[in-house]
Amino acid sequence: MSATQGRKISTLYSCLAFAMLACCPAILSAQDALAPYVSVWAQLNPEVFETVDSPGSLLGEFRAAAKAGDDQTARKDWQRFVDDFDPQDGFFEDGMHARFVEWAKMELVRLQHRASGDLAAERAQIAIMRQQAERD
Amino acid sequence: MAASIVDIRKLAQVTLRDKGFYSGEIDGLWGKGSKAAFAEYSGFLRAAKLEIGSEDAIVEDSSVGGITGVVVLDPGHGGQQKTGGSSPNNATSYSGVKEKAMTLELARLVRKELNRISSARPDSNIEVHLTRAGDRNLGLTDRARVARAKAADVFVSIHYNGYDGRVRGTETLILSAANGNTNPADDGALAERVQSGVFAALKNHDPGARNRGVKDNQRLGVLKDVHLQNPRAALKTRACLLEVEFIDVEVVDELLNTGQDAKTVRLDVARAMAQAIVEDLEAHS
Repeated sequence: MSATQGRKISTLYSCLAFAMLACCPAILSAQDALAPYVSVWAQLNPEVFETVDSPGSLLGEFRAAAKAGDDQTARKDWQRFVDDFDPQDGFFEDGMHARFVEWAKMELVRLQHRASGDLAAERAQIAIMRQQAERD
Repeated sequence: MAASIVDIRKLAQVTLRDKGFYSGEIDGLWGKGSKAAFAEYSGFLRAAKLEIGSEDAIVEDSSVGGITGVVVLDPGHGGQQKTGGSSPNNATSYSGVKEKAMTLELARLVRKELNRISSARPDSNIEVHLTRAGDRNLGLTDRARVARAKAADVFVSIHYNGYDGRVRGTETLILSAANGNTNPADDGALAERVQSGVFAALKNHDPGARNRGVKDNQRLGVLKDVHLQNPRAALKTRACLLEVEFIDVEVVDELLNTGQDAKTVRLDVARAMAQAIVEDLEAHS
């Protein structure tokens, strides 16, 4: 076997290994954690970036927070959403209200994990949120 | 009046039981068992060529007994401003129809249907009130207070859902016992009636309809028992919140707003709701 053939086989194995890793959800989650912040909502609903903002409304503010592109903005936006819409007495208006506030809190928990560098906890949080979305 | 109807029904049940046609509860309710027993007894009389006497006439009257009760319907949202925990609007349909307009229209249709049933059945008097008549918003406590002021037997808050444009289904929510619900079983029974009726109506028009069921673990301000004054009332208001469908889904919007049969579908949903409420009133008469 020539040196060139050896390099080709080595490259082939590398590609194969990369493809296998890319198919593994756990590794994907780790990549999520390391990558710049994208809300789980936006990962699941990329069309959110195309929506027109409607400030002040539950849905409008939720979508605005979901579009945040970095941790600092996301923390500020999700926190503001929770401050504005989480009822002081803990009683919600309807099912939609309860779902969105719960989701915002889960995004904040995830951001907390990112801030503390606890990537395993963030992965677990992302998995919980995806399961929640599947249940819905 | 309601008590006398119950007494007549009980008398009918006792009569049928004594004649060997009925083996159910003597509870004054006129469910399938009682109806079947009465039909069987009537068949027996016809076959024997016997005349139905005064005692049997009472039995016959009881099968068309009246319904009484006070119903408060709460069209969710409204107006332009947030007030008392109530947003002017939460969900908007795929084509742009606002939830607040849809809730009001459905409440009006249900009221019309309940009024029709009330006038059609002898000795019936179903009083129906709406928490809001037009495009204005009321706080969650104020909505519940309408039910309290009218001494409502039944309170149904009407909402439509929205989420990610894909999730869909019908669900009915009640306050959990852990959050102060003093009559969760009665609320649950009402919710089951409303849920199964509305889901069946939607399913009849759309095989894709999804039954998300009754959720009894909710913390909803408009259903708080202290606002309904249930903890202190002798007769507790039975309450639930219906989420008809997720209107941000395109096919649901077509079903309820933009499609050719949308008006019929909405009317059928209203009829199903009215029927569920009537059944609940009958069960408690």
